[in-house]
Amino acid sequence: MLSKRNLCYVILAMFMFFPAVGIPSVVAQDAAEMPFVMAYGSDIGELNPLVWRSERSHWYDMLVYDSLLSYDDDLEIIPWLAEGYAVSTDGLTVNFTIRDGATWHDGEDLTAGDVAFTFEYVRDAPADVNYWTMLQNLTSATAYGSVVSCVFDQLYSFALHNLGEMYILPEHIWSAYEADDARWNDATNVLAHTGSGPFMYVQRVPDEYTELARFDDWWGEDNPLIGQLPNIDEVRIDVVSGQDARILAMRNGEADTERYEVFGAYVDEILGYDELQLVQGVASQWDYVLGLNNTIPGLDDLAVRKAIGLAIDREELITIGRLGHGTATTSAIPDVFFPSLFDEIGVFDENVTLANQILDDAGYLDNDGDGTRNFPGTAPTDELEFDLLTLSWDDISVATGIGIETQMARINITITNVVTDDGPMYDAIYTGEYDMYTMAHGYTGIPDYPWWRCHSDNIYEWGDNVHGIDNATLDGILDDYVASTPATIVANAAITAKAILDNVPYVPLYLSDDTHAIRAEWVNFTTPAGGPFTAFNPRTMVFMYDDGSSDEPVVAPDYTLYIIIGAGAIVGVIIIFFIMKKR
Amino acid sequence: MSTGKSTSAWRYIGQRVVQTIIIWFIIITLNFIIFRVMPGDPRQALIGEGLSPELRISVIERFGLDKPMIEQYWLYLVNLFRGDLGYSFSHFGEPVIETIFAFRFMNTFVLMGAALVLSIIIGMAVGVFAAAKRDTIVDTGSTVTFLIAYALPVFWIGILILYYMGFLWDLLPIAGTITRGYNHVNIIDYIFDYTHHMIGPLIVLTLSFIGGFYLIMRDTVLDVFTQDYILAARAKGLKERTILYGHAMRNAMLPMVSVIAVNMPYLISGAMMTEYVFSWSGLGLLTYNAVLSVDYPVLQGVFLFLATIAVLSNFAADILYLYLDPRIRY
Amino acid sequence: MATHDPVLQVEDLATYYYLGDRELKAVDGVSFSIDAKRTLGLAGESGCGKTTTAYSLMRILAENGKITRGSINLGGIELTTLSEEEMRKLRWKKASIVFQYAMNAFNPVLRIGRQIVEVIREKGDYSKEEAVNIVSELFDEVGLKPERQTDYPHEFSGGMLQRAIIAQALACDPQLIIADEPVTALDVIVQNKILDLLRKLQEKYNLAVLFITHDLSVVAENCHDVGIMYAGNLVEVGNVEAVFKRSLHPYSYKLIGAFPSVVGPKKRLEFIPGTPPNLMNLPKGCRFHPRCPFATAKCATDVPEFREIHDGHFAKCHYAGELDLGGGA
Repeated sequence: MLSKRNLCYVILAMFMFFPAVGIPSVVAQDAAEMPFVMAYGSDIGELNPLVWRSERSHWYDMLVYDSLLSYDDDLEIIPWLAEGYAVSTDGLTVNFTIRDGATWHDGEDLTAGDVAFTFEYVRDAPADVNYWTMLQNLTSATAYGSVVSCVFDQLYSFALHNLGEMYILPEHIWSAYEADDARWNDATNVLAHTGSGPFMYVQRVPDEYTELARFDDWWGEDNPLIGQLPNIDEVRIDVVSGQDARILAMRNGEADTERYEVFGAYVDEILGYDELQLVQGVASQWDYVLGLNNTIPGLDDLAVRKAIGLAIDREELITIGRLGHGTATTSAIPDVFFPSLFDEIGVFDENVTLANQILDDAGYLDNDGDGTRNFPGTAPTDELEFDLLTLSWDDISVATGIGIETQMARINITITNVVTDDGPMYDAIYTGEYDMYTMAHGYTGIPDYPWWRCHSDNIYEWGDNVHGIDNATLDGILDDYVASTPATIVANAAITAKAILDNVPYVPLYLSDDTHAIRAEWVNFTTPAGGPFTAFNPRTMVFMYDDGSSDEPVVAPDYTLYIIIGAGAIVGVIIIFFIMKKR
Repeated sequence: MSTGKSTSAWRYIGQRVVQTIIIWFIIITLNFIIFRVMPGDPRQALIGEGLSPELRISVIERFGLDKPMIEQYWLYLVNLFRGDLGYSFSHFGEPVIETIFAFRFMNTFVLMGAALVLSIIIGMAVGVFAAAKRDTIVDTGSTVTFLIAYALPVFWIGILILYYMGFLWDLLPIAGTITRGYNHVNIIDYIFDYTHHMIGPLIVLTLSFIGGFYLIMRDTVLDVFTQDYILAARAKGLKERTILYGHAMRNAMLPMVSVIAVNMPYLISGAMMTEYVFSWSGLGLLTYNAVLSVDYPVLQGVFLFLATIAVLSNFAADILYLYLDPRIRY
Repeated sequence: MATHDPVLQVEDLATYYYLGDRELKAVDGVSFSIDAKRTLGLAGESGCGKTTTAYSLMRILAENGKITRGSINLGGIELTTLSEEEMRKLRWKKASIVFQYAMNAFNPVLRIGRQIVEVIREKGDYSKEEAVNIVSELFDEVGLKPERQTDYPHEFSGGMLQRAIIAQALACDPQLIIADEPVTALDVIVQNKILDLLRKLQEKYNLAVLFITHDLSVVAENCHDVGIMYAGNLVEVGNVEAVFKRSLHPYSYKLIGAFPSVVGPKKRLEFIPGTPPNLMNLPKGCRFHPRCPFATAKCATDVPEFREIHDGHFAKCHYAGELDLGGGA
């Protein structure tokens, strides 16, 4: 039995123990020369490079695995693991020349055979692995020496992009197992995460961190567009849940940046800290649109949709919705993301007068004099008014919705903002029971969005054509666009953008700008559209380095508080002890 | 002591076991229904960024979400009894049972256990002491202090601790249960590191729990003090401490047992904000993330677990009552 | 009364309660003594200060109660000047209490034996086994099966509990037992058994007993001496025979008259007009004078002295011994 006196000693010991335990772990740190810590709000979902389901996992995959191609700052394709590439004139054959001397993290040589294996492996994998759909049209992928030749039975404009983005897997490790085998997510199985990328998997504690080390045999020095190994010798992905905690972690050097850009008031906060910098002036991949339901009365009339498209003031929406940190998108194929396919012909203009004129001509007059236009016909007819769904957790979406409401008032269309959550929002848009919505879609480097968003083939539950536009002419144009050869793609892109401008299934608004907070000493990160830390831009993690400007003198940890708490506790215990003794 | 009494006690326990099983069964059914009638479709969770529609459909098929409701319910029950809670949406291919129990449950259990034990011990000891010193500075002081601590938002205290102790004074780590990227030399080193990371959340949780336990204890003890047997104990010339902790506290613990039991699941889920602020990877943080990513299988699993804990802890409280309060015989 | 030293000698005891800044004179100037083997019955209406007197002896008054005056000498030790800790050590060793509601006087969640063992070990240097043996003997003494000491209080009947509480009172070999309405809650047959037991034990252990009750018939049958209290004052003390037959104080006379006698000739029952005074606002002079049929002007102004009228028979009345209270002879 523990006597009361002993209990006092135990409590005393406990209080002294707590300060003591802090000391070893505060001091102990690994000694990487240039570690880079990325703070994630929640952990990587899956390590399997074939089934990444979020940009978080995708970014990790990008560091560990190589893709054949990458993008430069203008999002033009550049050779990456592949030394060269070629698309046949008919567009059905894509050839890659694989770089000599590339090796896997386990030391094995990376060959064209691995690449061919990867493509066919994914094609034959379960249907829910990434890129599976696209590869169903792959007849064969064959290695001839250092060249991999991929033959398709159907023309697809972006086959090169898709193949070029896929992560190449080591045949000697993957061939024996299924694509959805549990081993590919096993944190303790280092071999299962063998890639050829600039960083290799070291260790991981789920929900805590994932540690990668520079792969010193990476082929980067051999690629004239790169010419170097990464400067960073250790990449760690740490889980820090709260935004406030992440900023504190960055400020005191526990983290260098965080996965997603900061929003709202945090932007100004970051700008106020000397130890942090804010990435500015770079479009992110978040594409805010005004989605329209083309099947409901009013919006099924092209005149109304056109008028709405003409009445949008994008710069004002950027000011309201993103406090100025945004890049206007005036086309379904915006210049900031896909400059080589952009054409002026598809640009949405702002012209309120014309918008009003169109509505007047179409007979939408304010026949009851209440300030809102009415449907054509003899008065009184229904008002021209719509509900606009926005997402409660996304300030940008909500504020933009308010901006749209005031802008639509300029053409006497009444918008009612309805702030809702993910569940009701997706329910509404996937069942077609909505008028309008404003939220972000994500862009990657592959510009096939117009087809997914506007082709009538995608009007089904969980399809991407939530606008319900069903237009045979547009379908034909979109089909041509995604089945272009290298010679016809640019022209087809222009026609596509124009067709979307003419049909206005939705209205492109703007890309939210990347406002990544990053410690001030990091320089030389690349800034393509999408931002320095997108999952399709491995270059930042190669080129970026710590210029040493923040090398603060190492101050011994301050134990004042421990001492105060400890002393206080001891005094407290002594007092309690005496009080008890006195009784 | 006679066989008659213990038989009836056993019969009572038997009845409670049957009741508990029935209640649990109702709960697991509700747990299934709730997730199907909630606004939003679980399938929406599977629509990740940049996934093609075909891919979405095959994912939906993988999770069996295209099957009729009754069939889904049957599968749910069958799988439940095989210990299979399905697969997490957001942790691809990971069984929910692993998501919950691999390490998150332990993290929550250790943190909550430490906070509970600490706050119960401090709350009860100080509560009894304050009751004994009623209306003195000790009593008023501790009541006011604990009430303030009780009323402060957990989130706010957490951020304050992070800011001052984590950032300004650099005493505590900002996030996690262990130092990230650090290879622990041995288990002792690991435990030290873990404990160091636990200080912040432990302070916050203890502060937030302690008030409730303290107030209940203080009031109950004050009530107990008016009982004759306390006067008798004083007349017997027992030491004040024996009276307080041997006689008064034992009686005052009866209401405490039910309070603790009823709060058990709340205390586990109530750690959500704390776990979030300190990135403490436990069930609270798991729930938070699962809500954000609409990871229904995980939410369903966590709720099921919480409900089970609730039912079990109530059952345990009843059994404990049998032991603590000999007057109870059924 | 006997000439040797009494076990308990109370001299001018006054105990006040403080409610805010107001004074409640619960006990005011009480003097009496009890010898070994003798029983003093303390009787009076509810709220007259009987229980406060008893608690003052043990110094277990509520926090707002204070002994403001007087002395309590128990077995040669002056209790009023002891420190709290010294007093604590004396409790139960010198004097113990038999409580009124035995059911409530035992802690319901602890076994009865444990509660007695606890006090034995606290007061003397006994091992647990020795203490358990003592309890067994005591149980035997009071007519309980020793093995029942492992029972919880709720498993005992009222009479058994009263026996257990007597056993507890005897546990540390006290000189004085304060029996606070020990049988009030019991039915008559059990009452007699318990009272017999008390008498037997008193004889055996040389106990002085302070017997507090409002039941005068119990006093008449069980006590050697009796003290009558009124509004915090002890108005009359003497041996039972004397007080009952030749009351000196009008209140005693009326009180005894207000009580039906089972034996003796049938008389008309007296009743006392008026109500006892508010202890926070006592009348001047004799506290009984507003209700006293014999009150004079003097009674309303002068506090009467507590005087020995006959040998060992005291009363607090200006006219004690002079009044014809009829009950004489």
